[in-house]
Amino acid sequence: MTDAAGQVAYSEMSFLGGSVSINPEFAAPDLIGAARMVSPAAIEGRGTQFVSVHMPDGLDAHCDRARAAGARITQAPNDEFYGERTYRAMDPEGHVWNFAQPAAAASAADMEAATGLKLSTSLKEAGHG
Amino acid sequence: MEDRARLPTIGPVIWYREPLAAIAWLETAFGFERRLVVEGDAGQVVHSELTIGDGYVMVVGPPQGKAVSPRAWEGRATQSVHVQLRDGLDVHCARARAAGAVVVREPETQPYGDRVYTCTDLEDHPWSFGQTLAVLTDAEASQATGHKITAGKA
Repeated sequence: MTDAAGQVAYSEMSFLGGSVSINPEFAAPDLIGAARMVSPAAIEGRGTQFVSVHMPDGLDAHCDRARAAGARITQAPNDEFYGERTYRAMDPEGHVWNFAQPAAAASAADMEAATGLKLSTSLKEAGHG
Repeated sequence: MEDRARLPTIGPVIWYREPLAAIAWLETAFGFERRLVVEGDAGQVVHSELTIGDGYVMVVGPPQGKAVSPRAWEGRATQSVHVQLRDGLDVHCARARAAGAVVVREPETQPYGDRVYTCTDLEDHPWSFGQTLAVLTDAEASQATGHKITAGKA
């Protein structure tokens, strides 16, 4: 959706059934009060949220594609203790994206043993996928 | 959402200075349910999954590296989360307000067919909530909003 000046007013993009909305920076007290929506580029690379994207397969090829397009790969694809293969990348304005696909399944007990972290879950059996 | 294999493709990772307090607040204010919380010894949350409807968010913190709470930059935020409800938008807003959410934009029916309210949470993260009342064609939405609307193949 573009305004009279051709600028993006609002947009939606989808990936494997999920969607994100890509919008310009804005400050509008009647809409978001004292909050101000900014690009990480405006605040020295800081970000208040990341986006996490899960895909069924093809993670390494996805990483190659992102790198070829100029993404800065901050963490190369790696199998993690929680049963996922992940990589992390920064887009041209410094937004951080996490990408993951299922790897070897890990149980809650396995994850606690591997990390020393406390894991509480409502799942009957955690860690599938 | 009882099965990790059926997690939605996309989920926001939201940084809080006090993540355990944030998780409790998000349950009370917005009706999220905790399905998984991974804690360190000092009260840090390295991962969590909170569900609402068929969606979820991950609350983590305290912030590390370049990650920050909006509190660190006078309410500046680089993303906001939008939650589309099936029904009960006005009741949801009343519940959020009662829990201390700062309602910025009261529930109002928009020209594009959704009823929407916006608020900020206990660390100033911005949220919006919507409920579809009428489904408009792109042409109708364009006329109603005055914006050019281009639909993709997705």
